[in-house]
Amino acid sequence: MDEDRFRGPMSDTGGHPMTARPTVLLCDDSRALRMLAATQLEESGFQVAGEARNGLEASELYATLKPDLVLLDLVMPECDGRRALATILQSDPNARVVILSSLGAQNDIEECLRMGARSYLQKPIDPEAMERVLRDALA
Amino acid sequence: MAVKFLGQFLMERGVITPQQLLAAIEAQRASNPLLGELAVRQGLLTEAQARRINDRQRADDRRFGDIALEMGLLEPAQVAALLIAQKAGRKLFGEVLLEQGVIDLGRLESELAAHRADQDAAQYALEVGVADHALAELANGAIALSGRLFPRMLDSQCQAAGLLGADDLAVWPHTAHVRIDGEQPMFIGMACGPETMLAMTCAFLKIAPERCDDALALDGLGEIVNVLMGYVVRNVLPDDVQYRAFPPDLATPAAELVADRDRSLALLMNSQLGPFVLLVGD
Repeated sequence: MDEDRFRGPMSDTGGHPMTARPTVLLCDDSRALRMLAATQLEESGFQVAGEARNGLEASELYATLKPDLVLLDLVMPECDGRRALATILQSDPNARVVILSSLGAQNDIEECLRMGARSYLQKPIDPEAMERVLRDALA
Repeated sequence: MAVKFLGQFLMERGVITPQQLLAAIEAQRASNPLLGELAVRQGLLTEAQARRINDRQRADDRRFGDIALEMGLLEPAQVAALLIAQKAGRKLFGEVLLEQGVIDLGRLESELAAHRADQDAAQYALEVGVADHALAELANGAIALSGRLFPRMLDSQCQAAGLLGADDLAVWPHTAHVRIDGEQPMFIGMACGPETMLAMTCAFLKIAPERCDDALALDGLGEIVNVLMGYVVRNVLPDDVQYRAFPPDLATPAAELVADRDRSLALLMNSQLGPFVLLVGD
């Protein structure tokens, strides 16, 4: 059975942008969603550097892994995506964070974009849209 | 009394066996290809192209042909021809049973008449039960969206079958619901048995059952409800409504969610992955 993969640092890219396989920190409280997204990311040419179940883990793993990109769910327990976004951007204003949401209210999404998120994706994830959005965020 | 697929109706009446039901379902599925499957068979699309369109369908909730046109993968004339071919080749479930020699024409006709009468009565009871309810719009919206999303997300049809009371829900042990608070608070949930939950999660994740443990199955159910709620919110609520969303709740039993009948509904749904209960409330 697939347990939570990558619960901690899997690789340290040193934050090098535009690597051959850009690294992604995947943050969502749903193991099912992380499983699905990880497969889609790998098939699209990304490398999943780590997985976080809530905003607190997301902030901690970002500091450790320094991934090229962060895919961050908006609605999570304990510490939601908006707070995690603020923490990550405070530590690294150049962080490339893409918001992921099925339930994000329009004003929440707008606020995240104003805070500095690069883009957002709606669930269920369209792999092609995800690849396009993530590669645009890298540019 | 509940709205049922014909196969389920016949099986429950002892006209066909479960094995005959499965065999007929498989034969019908093979003879009723999805538009994408047909396009691949005819060499108009590669499998990878059809998969791309299906992925977009899941996210956008639009028709295969419309997306294929937009992506420039098919011409309008090709889409039209595919739709004609799809309709021409389509076999009804009863036709398949006749071909397989499971039932004769006379018996089929009398069972179809009984099924129709049963369906009409059940549908009427469902409509009456929902129509006068304060949450009728939400319930009908959720049913309609489920009907659209299930084929795209889970490769399964689903349809509303009846209304249940809180007392009926003990047999549906696994429940996931998503709640929003704010100007128009509401919740959407699904309750089901373990087999249906496993089937739904495996369909959602496109994985074999051996790779899905109980925790992942329940988590997957929560994510399916999450997606459904997202569509309900976007279709039912105004764009500028203020609300706060919560992560899926996998612990609250269905009976507790719909204890207040004036503020909630439990809708029995049939699907090819198994029966489940759609829960709506405010």
